[in-house]
Amino acid sequence: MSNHAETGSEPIIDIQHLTRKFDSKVALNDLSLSVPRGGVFGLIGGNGAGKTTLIRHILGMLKAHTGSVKVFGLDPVQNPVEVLGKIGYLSEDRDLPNWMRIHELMRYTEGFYPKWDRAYADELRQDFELDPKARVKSLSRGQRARAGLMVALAHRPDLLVLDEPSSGLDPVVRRDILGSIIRTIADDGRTVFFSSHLLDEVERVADRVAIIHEGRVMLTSTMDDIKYSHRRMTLRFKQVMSHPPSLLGALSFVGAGNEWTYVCSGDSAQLRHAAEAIGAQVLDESTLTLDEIFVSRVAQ
Amino acid sequence: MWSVAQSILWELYSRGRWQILTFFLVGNALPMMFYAALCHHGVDLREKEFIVLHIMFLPIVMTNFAVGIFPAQGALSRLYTLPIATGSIVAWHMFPGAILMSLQVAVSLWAQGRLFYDGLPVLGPSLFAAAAWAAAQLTVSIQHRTFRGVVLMFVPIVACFIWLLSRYGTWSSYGSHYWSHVTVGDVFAMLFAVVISYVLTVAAVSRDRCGEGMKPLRLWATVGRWLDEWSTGRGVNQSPFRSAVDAQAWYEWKQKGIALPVGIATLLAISTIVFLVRLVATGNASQTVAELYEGLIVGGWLLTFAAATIGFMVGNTSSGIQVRHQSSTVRELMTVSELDCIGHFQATMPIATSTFARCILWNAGKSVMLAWAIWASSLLLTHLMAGAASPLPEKMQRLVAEPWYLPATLLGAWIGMTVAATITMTGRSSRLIWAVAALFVVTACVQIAVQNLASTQVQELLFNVSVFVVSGLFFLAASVAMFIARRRNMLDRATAISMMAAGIMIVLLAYATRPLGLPVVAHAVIVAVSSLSVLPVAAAPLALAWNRHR
Repeated sequence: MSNHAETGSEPIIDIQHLTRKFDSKVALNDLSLSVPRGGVFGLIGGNGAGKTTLIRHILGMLKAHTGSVKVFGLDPVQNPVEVLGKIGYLSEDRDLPNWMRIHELMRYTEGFYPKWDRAYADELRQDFELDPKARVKSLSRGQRARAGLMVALAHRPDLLVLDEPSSGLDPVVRRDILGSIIRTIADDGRTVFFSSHLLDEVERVADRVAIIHEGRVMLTSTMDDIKYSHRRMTLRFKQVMSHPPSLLGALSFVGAGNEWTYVCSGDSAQLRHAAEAIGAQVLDESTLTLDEIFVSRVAQ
Repeated sequence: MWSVAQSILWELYSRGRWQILTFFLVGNALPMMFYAALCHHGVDLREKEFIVLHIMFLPIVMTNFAVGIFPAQGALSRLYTLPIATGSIVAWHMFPGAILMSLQVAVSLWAQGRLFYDGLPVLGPSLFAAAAWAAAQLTVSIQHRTFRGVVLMFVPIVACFIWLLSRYGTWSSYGSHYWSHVTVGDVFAMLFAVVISYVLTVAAVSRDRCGEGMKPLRLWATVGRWLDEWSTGRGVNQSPFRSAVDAQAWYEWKQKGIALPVGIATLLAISTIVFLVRLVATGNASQTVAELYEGLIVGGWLLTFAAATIGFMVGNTSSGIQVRHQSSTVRELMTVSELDCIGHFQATMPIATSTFARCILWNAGKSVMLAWAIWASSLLLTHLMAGAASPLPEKMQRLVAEPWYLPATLLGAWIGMTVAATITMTGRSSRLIWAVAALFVVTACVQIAVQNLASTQVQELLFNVSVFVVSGLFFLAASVAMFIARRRNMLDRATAISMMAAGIMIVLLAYATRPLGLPVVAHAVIVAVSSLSVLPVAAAPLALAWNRHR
């Protein structure tokens, strides 16, 4: 709801109370998520958290068992042409037809997208150093990712969906994808939705983040808000204690004796006030990396 | 602690016990059904034609048993990084499989003998099964990654089959007696085949284990390079596709559609070579041409089975099969469980599911039409040659003179391919194939039980009732599929009307060209064929939607 207010427009992805089971395993559990139009949205979560399942719902490859999925205001299962026509997608397994050559891949994909920009496609192909005569099966993993990205970008999609784009790539390719491409797309006013478990990269490029764990969204907000609302505070108590007293907003703690370090969620002033209320003195206060926030949230 | 042998045998048992049993039953169902039907009509299995039938069934039955055992063993390459000698890897795949094959063939022929004719040989074919299994291991090992390997893989198979033929008469004849007496020479020949297969398989696996594929022949490499350059040169500057339908149609044809016509053309080329060899060997032109002609007539019906087999590939929208095709052995391909679940690349193309399904069906139709045209042209040519060489046997003259024969072979190929493609489009074909296999086995069991327990009148009644029920089910399936596809906007009104018109036309044409004196059940069969002809048009979009939006 807050997203609508912030952006003043309908979210590009709107998921409400989505539940999905595979046999008895619950992959997504009453999940709700709104992705506003424009910017880079990072979806983070551990292995098996439900990231890929969520992306497959967004692409219409899975039907919602309960709840609803709307992309561009449409159900992707009912309207695949309208929805997928505006999406560029790079799958985690870099699924491309191995028997095709690069020029065939470009020609084939062009047929599906009226907005295909041939000059831009050629420019991307040259930038990515892809030989038009090379067969997809002969490409390295990094080259496959580039080829996949090229066909995902060349029709200038309104929404670029990347499932673990950095997985298995060397730093150079990773820099290409995350550093330049994602930011360029977002700067054009388009939207990038990407999943990753490499949190330093998400931190570097994402404007908004959602943390997904065991099929539920644990937290979603702008990157700045998330970083602002999570702090590490080291407190000193008057007495030595084996277990520290509970602190309002604390997610985790470590320490011994009378010095304990808390990872907390909340406003700095409120947290300081809460610390004083339990008789503690604040020795140190610092911001957290996304990695630390994620670990403290998930390990709760 | 387990030994290597124990581990591999445990793996074979725990992974494959049910599929080995299932394929054993499926493999037996086909000959059992045939023999039951023949015995029902009082045919004597000692007659020469049934020796031929027995020889034809042997490789089919053995292939079925092998299909059960192969995937159960798993790909050899899974053991490459473990500290096991290559000889052990090969031995513990080759010998347990050979023993299993031998036992299955022995039990199968013993059971057939007990039920239908006690003169069926058991010892010779069961020992042969072990040798053939060893040759099959060699076949699978040498076909790895090269075209030359693919060509070479046929050598052990053809050699085995020719040797088997020679046990029933001479290699160039269709069999004159059952292989009742196994000589010491036979045993030594089979033992030799096993030993030589083992040695060559170890050599092939050793090369593969260290990533040393076979080097391509220079001539083939040159041809390959030329084809590569030609296709690349043609492709780079081709004009763009006008629509998604054009692009998808190109994809379907280039990747899958061409398989059936090329396969049929290759088979016809091989038949021509065999024909020439036999012509030189026998010197009897008229008999050889007549045999070739007879083979082509039977080939018209086999076109349906070939189309159905290729249909499972034509309906496949997964990317897994493409990935594995490039670098996998037959065994690795067979080990994969979900071969037909739609891949991300295809699933996320902005094309309506009904349009996508129509592209696949259109491609199937084109493929069937071209393959059928190639076969029909060969038949026509041979017909002219046979007519010139000698008068055709009366039975064949009658068959070709029937106006329904040629359209029926085309319709059969269409039904075979599109029904198989529709099954694969669901992305759950393995489950459906298991269900069909189970149904097949149950039908065979019921048929044998009824033949042995019920009177002729009851048998007749049960047969008629089952044909009517199955035909009714096909008709119902076509109607329901059309209704659902219409309701889900996957079938437009014009296509639905065309479907119904085509179905009615097929029924009318079948009645117009039907042979005289057809039994009552033939009417039900005509309705079933008509329903199956149009069923895929409605069912394919539903099947693909079930796969694409899971």
